[in-house]
Amino acid sequence: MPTLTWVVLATLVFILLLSAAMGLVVRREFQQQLNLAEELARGQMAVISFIAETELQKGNYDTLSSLLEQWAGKHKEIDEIKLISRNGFVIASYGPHQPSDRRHVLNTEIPYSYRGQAKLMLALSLENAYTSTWRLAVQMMVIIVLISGMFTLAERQGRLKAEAVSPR
Amino acid sequence: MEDSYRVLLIMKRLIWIMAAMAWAGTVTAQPLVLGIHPYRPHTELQQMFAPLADFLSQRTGRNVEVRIGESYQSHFNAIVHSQVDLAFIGPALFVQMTQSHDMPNLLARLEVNGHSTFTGKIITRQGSGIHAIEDLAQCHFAFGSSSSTMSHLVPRQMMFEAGIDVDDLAGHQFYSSHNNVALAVLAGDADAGAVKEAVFEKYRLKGIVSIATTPEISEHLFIAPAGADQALIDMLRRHLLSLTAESPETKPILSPIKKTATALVTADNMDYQKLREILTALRNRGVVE
Repeated sequence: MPTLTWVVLATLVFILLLSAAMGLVVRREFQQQLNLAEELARGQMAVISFIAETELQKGNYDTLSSLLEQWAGKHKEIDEIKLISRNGFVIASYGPHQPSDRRHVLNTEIPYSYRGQAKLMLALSLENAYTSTWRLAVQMMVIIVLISGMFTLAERQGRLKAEAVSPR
Repeated sequence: MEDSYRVLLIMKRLIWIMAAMAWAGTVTAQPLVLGIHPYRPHTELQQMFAPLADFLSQRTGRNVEVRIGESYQSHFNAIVHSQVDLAFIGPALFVQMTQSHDMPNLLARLEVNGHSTFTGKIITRQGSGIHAIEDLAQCHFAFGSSSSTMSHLVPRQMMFEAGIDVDDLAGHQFYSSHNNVALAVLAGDADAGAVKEAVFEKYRLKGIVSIATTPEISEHLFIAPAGADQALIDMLRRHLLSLTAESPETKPILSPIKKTATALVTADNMDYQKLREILTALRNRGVVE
């Protein structure tokens, strides 16, 4: 087989293997980011639903909006919060600030007093997870290109050297 | 011997004079306290009354501090025990005060859109099926604070006169503010409630409708406790009555208290006679003490 064909084939196989490995790393990283966001959302939901239940129990509907706004303002990952009464009236809301499909949404029911029932919706933006994964993927691609280039050069040098010493 | 006695005497007098001056200094440095009843969240009230406190500080030469009572009752107590120097008070609390304690000094009352009286509304949600007070039987009703003029006392008497007492309701609950009453009705936690007209207007577009309007009652007012220094009362009254929305200088002081406030005007005990009659009727029924 001619040297060039051999080098190209070997490089292609190398790139494929490297890409598969890097892809696995990126995918795992992305999954970790999503898991982290989901865990964060569950924690946020626990706190917010506690605040909402306490204030609803006291009939402090009016302070709920400002409390939720203050809380969400300090946690940039929160994209939207909505507290809706049983009859569909929005008691308090925050956002959405960056409308996006890339969100993790949690819903929970909050019973209060003897008759009250409200639904709390919390949406966390996943834009950060997507952005950092994309950044990692780009970095990986650059690394693949560099390593493949180095591999090609080394492979070519090795082949040429082998051809030079081999008897014709 | 005589000389040293004279020196001692002079020193003694000097010490007395210095002590008296230090005491006077402490007295003049004591801030005036402007007490406010907690009809809105604490931080909001601080912001609303801060310009007025600054204005009075400048005019009286004494620092004026805004203090918010933790309840209507604590506000009442602070005034009757002279723990405040001037206070903003609701008409019902004022009338109750005149009926049980020495007459406080009336400084000024609020004028809103050119009127120094206000009304309240009995409200419900659009489509609730409640069209008149008589329909409130077996409904859940939301009142504001038990001491509130327009979210409890006046509407409660009005409902009684229309044949509905609290025993006729399926239940009633007291909320901490007019806004909370409106929101409880909108959220469906109460079928109807009582609020002042300004709050009704605020939530009207969200689906609140009025089924009855209360009689006109004289507006909220500024008072000084009974027995306060007359010179201070005169000075505070003069400065408060100088506030008008027509003046670009004093408008920024009035508008944070109420956007639609147009002036502070003179207040007379008789302006509150109608409310006094309502409260007497409520007292006779054992609703208020």
